[in-house]
Amino acid sequence: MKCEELQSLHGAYLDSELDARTTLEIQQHLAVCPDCARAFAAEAKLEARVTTGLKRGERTPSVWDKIEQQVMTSAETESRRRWAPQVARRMPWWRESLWPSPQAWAGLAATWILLAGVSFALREPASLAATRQVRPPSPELRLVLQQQKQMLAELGGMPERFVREQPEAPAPKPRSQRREPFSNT
Amino acid sequence: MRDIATTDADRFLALLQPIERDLETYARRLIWEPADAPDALQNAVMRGFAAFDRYHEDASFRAWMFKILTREAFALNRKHARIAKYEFQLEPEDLANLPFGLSLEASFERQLSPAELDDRLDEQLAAGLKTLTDSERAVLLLRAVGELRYREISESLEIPMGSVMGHLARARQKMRALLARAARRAENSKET
Repeated sequence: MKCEELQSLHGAYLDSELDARTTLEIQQHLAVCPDCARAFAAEAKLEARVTTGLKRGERTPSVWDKIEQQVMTSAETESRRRWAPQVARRMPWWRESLWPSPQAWAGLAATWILLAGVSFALREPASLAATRQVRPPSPELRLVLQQQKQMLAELGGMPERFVREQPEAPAPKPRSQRREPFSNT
Repeated sequence: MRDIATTDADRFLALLQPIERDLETYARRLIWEPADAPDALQNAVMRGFAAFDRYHEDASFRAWMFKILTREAFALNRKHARIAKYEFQLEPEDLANLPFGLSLEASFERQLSPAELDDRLDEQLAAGLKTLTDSERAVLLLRAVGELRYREISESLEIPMGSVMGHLARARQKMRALLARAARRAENSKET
């Protein structure tokens, strides 16, 4: 390995980022080249000083206290959000009044609604109900009907009395008053 | 009994606290506008916590948070439409004439106390970072401050490994060039 090649690799060498073979070659070269060894030592010292200088800094407590507090606040907010659904599940007063079985109340209401629906579906239409409504015939109509009956009776040879009045069946008598058909007396 | 979300927050903070100082240092060096650093940190941490359920225990939490913070920092830099205002422009000859094996001791340490040297170096590093592009700066800081491996940097910035090595080499070269120039100036002022 030549001295120029070594200079291009000194950064990665100091950072221990080279593979084992290249690292060994550099170490072998430095062992036999005092100029490169001296330059590498100076570069290593300079690099260490630059690194130390760049790392020099303070932790500002006020900045980090505020940030850490924000992290905790964010965690607590998240925690409340996670528990929020359980709080929301607590029933309002009107639902608590249905306790302990709101499902039973809901079932009862559904049954009533079903019955009302069935009743509505099976009712007669209004027009049909109106036609089925029985009204007493007017006097004129009754007179016309009576005249028609009389005419029919005359045409058929039947007395008016027969048409108008149907003989009523005799009321049943008590068994003791009935005449025995097969009595010898 | 603690809630799951609160337990997650405890776990998240337990992982976060050891790297808070490094995250803040990284943010303050990566973001152009220093006042934006707390906002970037806050946004990154809250994003990280929101996505914590997708974080796998076998992954590096450190690399994961540095990746999120890098995105936030880039977003803030873009939001403010920052254009790198190079306070210390590097001339091409600064890079071309850069000696390999630069020693700061020769220039600085003979005339400065360790504390003064640290302060001077800090100024030079802050100036040097401003000469880097966003990618170069992020790669250099992810390596130096984040202590991430090249593979982790590649995943964080979603760039190939070769690009990581290229950006890092250029960033280091620019930083060394700036320090070399500062060293030359220190030498010249000492001679005069």
